Amino acid sequence: MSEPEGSSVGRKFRCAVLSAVKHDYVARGVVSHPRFELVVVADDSGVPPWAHERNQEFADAFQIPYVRDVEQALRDYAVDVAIVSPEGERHCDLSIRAARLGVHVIQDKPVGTRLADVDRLVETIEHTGVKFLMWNRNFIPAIQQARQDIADDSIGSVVSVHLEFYFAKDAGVPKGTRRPGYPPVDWLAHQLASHVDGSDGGLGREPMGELAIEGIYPLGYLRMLTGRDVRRVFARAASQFHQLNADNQVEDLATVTLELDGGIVASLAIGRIGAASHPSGGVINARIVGSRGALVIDESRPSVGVYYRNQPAKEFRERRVANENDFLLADDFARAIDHDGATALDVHASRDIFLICEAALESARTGQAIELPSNP
Amino acid sequence: MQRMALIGVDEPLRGAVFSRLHRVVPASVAEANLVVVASATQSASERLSSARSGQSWLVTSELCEQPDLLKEWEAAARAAQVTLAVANLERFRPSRQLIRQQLDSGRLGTPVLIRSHRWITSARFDFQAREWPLACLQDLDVATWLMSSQPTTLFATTSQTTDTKSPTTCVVHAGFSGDAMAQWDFTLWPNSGEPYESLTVLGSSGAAYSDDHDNRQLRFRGDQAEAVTASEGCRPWVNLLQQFVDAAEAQSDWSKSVSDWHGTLALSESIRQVLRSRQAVKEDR
Repeated sequence: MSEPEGSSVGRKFRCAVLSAVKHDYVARGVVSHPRFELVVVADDSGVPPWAHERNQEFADAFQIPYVRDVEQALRDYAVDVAIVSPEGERHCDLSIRAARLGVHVIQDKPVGTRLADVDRLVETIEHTGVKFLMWNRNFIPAIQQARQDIADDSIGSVVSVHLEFYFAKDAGVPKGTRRPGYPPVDWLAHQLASHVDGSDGGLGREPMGELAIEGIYPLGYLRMLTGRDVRRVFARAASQFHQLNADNQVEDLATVTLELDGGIVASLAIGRIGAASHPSGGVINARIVGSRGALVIDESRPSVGVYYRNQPAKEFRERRVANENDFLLADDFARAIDHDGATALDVHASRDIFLICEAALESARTGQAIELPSNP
Repeated sequence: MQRMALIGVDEPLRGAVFSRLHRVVPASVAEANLVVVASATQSASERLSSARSGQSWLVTSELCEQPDLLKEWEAAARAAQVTLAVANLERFRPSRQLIRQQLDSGRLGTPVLIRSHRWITSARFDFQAREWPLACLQDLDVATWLMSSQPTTLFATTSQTTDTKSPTTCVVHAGFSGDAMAQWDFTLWPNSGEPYESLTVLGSSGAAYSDDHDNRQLRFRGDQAEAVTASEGCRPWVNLLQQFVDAAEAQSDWSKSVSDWHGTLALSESIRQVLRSRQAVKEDR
């Protein structure tokens, strides 16, 4: 993992945005680093009209061309890095196609929606030797401080880690408010409609629960803070808050207990808990017990409270400041390319986290603890 | 006016508590109609040998942390012809009372997740035996009280360390009816130091957060800042005793407190079994 001094000297990386239909925060995050520049937006010609529309809007915003042919765009624009952010089920496909052309990949979460696709991605990244980064939150200042405390041996060796990851956002109407006789809420239609205020999550044809969508973040913390593999999980998962999740039978709340190598235990509570449940977007924190001490970390700090008359209800009251996660992730990626090093969350780590989420959901279905396979 | 004997609560706490109570005066056991016991210096039968028929006795849950002890209190109370109640002081903390009130008001909706962290220092527990269920009782009880039900599914696991000087963590994980869930982190520290606790209750339409991280003041008197706990003071005792007085005046029945505590003890036994088997179990309560 890179140190946060910055890697701003060196050649610029030409980036293609391979589908900007979901969130554009990844592309915007990458270009917060001066060594990355967006040169083209590309997607397949056969994607639906709404996808072309979003891609064109993003291209216009950055005053770059939109090309309706992924391979042609990657070749014609001499692209170094593909920023992949389409619907969830297309993640692996676009990343694989970029990697096959020797283009490095920065991908939005989740790594994929099916293990077979994820395995193909791992194989391709290994075979081509390009760099892969799953976009994550590991460089948020509070989490980095915890990592540094552990690295400095301030609390001894890690005994247990406890993570809470609550996004206080709505996802349409509350559970229980759909009137009798009305059809179930359509997943993709809801995601498309809610894009305007950024409350869409898990864009794609296939419904995805909160663990599958957001699990990469806290499980990325766990991996970084412990450096250990997960061996067994027990989980509960349910749709408790949103009709969208209930109708599509995917969880908006999950709790996971994890056993890791080295006798470490961990717990995770994750959910999209509704906007009413927190005034500033949610609670994200980490509690880390070490052999000689412990840390209680609020991910949102440092922050500044801002309150004023007629403040919009959805505006966060506590505003995060000095968050360099985007820059540092991009910097880490640049360093990995420059020095042929590892990235902060590579394709193997992403696959491991995918397997943890899958095992957790299986545990929630069966009521039993699930063993994870050992890594070779 | 009620007459209360309060056993096992010493000055200055005793005086502070009585000064805040309404419609009650301190009394000896012989004179009292309400007797509250918070000391384990005598057995249940010894303690109740001085009881007078018709009194209401309340014992704190620390005195009945084993099923046999609770049964002994019940038998002794029956023999002395007094009513018996069991109180977990943790329920009566202002923070917990507020959360319960918010749930009862319906503002938070149905409770769907209770998550708590409790890091305990060495004062009470045998760290060689790692008495997990014993360390967990008060918090298990608070969670089932807030949920108003007992778990239907249970899993638990502990960290494994060969170093007896290291802390050990036990995670207890439960499912409830309606797909509600609870997750407790209990960490035992084999050394002196300050404890830490946190309780989050997510409801279907709101949430409540009570965390030592937030409830700390900063003290600067050297190189490093200290985080000082903002205590809830004597209010847990005041809340408990005032509610006991109010219940006596209203002739309310507190016998459910005994069955609740039986449920908590049964839950702790299930955790013990899960820790032995390392397998999740479905509960049938």
